[in-house]
Amino acid sequence: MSGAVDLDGDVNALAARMTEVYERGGYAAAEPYAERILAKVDRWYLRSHPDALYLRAHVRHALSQAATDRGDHDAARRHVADGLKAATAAGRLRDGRAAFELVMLLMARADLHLSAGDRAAAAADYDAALDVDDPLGHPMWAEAQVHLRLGRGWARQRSGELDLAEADVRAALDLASEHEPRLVSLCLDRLAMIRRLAGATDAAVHHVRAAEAVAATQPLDAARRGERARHAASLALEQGDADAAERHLDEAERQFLEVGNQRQAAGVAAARAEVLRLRGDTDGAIREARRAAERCRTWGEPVGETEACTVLGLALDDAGRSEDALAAHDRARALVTEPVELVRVDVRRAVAAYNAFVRRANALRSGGTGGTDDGSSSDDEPAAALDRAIDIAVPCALAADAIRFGMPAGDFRESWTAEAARPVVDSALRMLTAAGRADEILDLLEHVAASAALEPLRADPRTSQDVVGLDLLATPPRVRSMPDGDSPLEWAARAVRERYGFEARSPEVVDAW
Amino acid sequence: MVSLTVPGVQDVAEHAGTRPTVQVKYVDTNSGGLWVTWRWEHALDRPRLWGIQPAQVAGALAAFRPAVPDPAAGESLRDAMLRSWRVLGDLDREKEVAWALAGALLPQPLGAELNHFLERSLRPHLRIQASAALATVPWEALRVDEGERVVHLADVSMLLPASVRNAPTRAVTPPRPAGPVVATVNPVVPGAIDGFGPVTRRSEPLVERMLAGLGDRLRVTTPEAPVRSLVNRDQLRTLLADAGRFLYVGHVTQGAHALGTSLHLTDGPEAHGRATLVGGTHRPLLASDVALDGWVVPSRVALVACASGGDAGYADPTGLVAAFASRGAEHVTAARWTLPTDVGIEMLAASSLGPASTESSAPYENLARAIVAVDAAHEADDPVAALGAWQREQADAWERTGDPAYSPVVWAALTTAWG
Repeated sequence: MSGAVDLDGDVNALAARMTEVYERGGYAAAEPYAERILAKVDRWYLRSHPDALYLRAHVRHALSQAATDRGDHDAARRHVADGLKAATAAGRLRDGRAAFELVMLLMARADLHLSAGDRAAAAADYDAALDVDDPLGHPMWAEAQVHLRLGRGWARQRSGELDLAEADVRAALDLASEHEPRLVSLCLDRLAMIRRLAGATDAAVHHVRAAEAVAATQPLDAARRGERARHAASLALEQGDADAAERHLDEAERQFLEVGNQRQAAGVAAARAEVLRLRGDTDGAIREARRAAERCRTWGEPVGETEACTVLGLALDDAGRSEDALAAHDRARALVTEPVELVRVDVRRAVAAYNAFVRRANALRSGGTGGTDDGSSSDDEPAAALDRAIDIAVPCALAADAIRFGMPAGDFRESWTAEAARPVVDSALRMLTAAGRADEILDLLEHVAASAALEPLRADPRTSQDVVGLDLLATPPRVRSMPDGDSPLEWAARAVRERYGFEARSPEVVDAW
Repeated sequence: MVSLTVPGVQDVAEHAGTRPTVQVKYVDTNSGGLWVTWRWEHALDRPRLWGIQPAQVAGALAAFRPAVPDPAAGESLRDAMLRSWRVLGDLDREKEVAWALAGALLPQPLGAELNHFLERSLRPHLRIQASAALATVPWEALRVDEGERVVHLADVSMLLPASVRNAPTRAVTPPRPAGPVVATVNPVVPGAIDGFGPVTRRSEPLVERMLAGLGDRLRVTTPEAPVRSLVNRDQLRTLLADAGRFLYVGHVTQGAHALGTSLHLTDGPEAHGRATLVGGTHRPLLASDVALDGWVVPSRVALVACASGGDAGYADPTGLVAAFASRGAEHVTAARWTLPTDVGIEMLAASSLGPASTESSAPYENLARAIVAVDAAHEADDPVAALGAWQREQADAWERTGDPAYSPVVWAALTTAWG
């Protein structure tokens, strides 16, 4: 943060103080100074004063971030809107300083759009920010550009465009390596996260280890220390090391709170529930996950809330409470909008629904009254429970299989297919087998055996760098599994359209034989 | 109506032709098992479903894994070859593995159906679409009885995914039986990059005679050196456009995804393509370059190179075989795994000679004979049957002698995709 202004000595001193406290305590600490500066510069008679406009944009950004950190998104939006107004007005006055503030504010608005689930608006803001030039050689320009690319990468990651997300993060890593070495570990952590989502766990571990090694050589600010610890906790959880995960989570939460970032601190709580689950403390995990979901909701952290609901669902399932588990996963589903996220949540919903069936069937077999959460049962219940699981799992399998068609040819597409899509298909096949629905089993087997496509939708013969393919392949045709009659899975293809917003296959039909 | 239990043989027993053909597709389960579906082409409305439990297949696959000469992560090519040779260079061990694989992978009802046709002196054709877990299984070499492999009972071919085979935009190039033969043998890879030297001996009479036998049908860019040609992708593309068939003998390397599988020609940095440069001097030709840039290829393509037929090992099985098929090839012969050179076979054979050994069949010509056999198969009316006939001979000689000259390490790697 910088606050060079000749408007008034008092404002200058406040701006300098704001920068100082920000370095130690983040936006929460800077907020009172920002408010005081704003009170001085946000006057009608200063609406065309370059310094005042610049400062207004500058402090509005700080205020928006402080509001975001405490979960007050409405206030954050108001600050960003006013800041953008000021930055635009300063830009019209040819004030070169406004460019940097404009980038920061566009980035802040993009983050808010993302929190609200409006990915298109977020993408537009990131793209607009990337179009802004730096007329003055701002000392923090490179840092902003790193964050900008990481931000757009995050948005793309959430929508499942993992290849493009990785391209952004790699661009950020290149910039950081050249201009901002202290951000290198952050970029590596993000790369690990993307690789993990694509199912490439080994590559993820490699990036996390590299991030650890780099971070150990650098002084990091509290926010960055918090994020670093959060990534380390994820790795520890994946490796089944509950004690290490807990230590890292303690550290992450402490660091986030130190800079007043309640929102990210709340996000840590969901992982705490997972630690308890890992230790076999199912009741504790349920309690912690409920608390985490509530806390994330309070502080406006939808990603953390989704994670908390997911852990809650898994813990409830562990406890044999499949119906409650399904309800928790339903809550998680209500919080996500992107197809990839919907598929991930539906995989867990399908498992919970299937477990509900298994429990009912077992209870009935052992002569009990059903073993359901409410203790009620009838002979028809297991079949109905299985139908419900199939109704979730089969469309989810088709959707998981089809998500690759939106990915350029490349190793992300391969990872997604191998690690994410195929296991869902197998689960769906098992459920269909339990139900004896042979026609649909055959249809699904033929469907997945004919997922390869070589029809170019966009063929780009240029040399592609790293993992980012430039070729996009057309969605393959639907496969006819029997010489006559409609596809037994037509209902599921319809459900894909309705639930995920895309087609499982193109309208053409080819024979499976 | 599909059934979860396989009906009796009588359900598919009636067949009017001479070559009952069955399409068999395998899909991996999460836990190491397999889903299997098969249907006879004369009974399309009677497909079968089968499941193979992990426990039924785990032992056979574990025994087979060391036999595959593809280097594992961190393993050198030499170590991979030596590992493989301990199985594929040892008749008794190889027979055990081939026997175990057959027992684990061929559903009994399918066996009964095959047997039904065999008893009527009909030779079936097995078209197999392997799953990723089974990508390197040498179906032709699976041992079903004493001295008898699958290739003794049936013709075997690789079945491409229906979405590739039957793609609405795919146009199979009409066969040109007496048409020009584009032979790219040991193309020079620029930069003298380690590992990209010739795959045959400097002087290889068998291959030279084979090429000479093609007479004026042979299309090469360097007639003075047909077994060490200089050919780049533009020249190859032009030659292939009106060729009767294509024979490639050289290097293929795997990518992180199937379309990234590379074929290595005399392409330097100036070549246009998707691949990044190797050693700063060479740009490989990717499966995606062939598949997506409008190449037109002949109806018969043979790629005698390491794991050139590794498509099925990828979750998205669109490697070189699918790429050439999508651009017009009806028959594509390729190798499932890394092929040893003939010099390599000598090294392997020497490694297994005991202190009391007094003779060896060296010099070996396994790869050279395979190249000639593949070329001959592609001259035949039916390349699948012709290659199978040669593989039968090799299997018989191997069972009879255990001589490294007939080790399945080369002949069992080859398979033909048809359709």
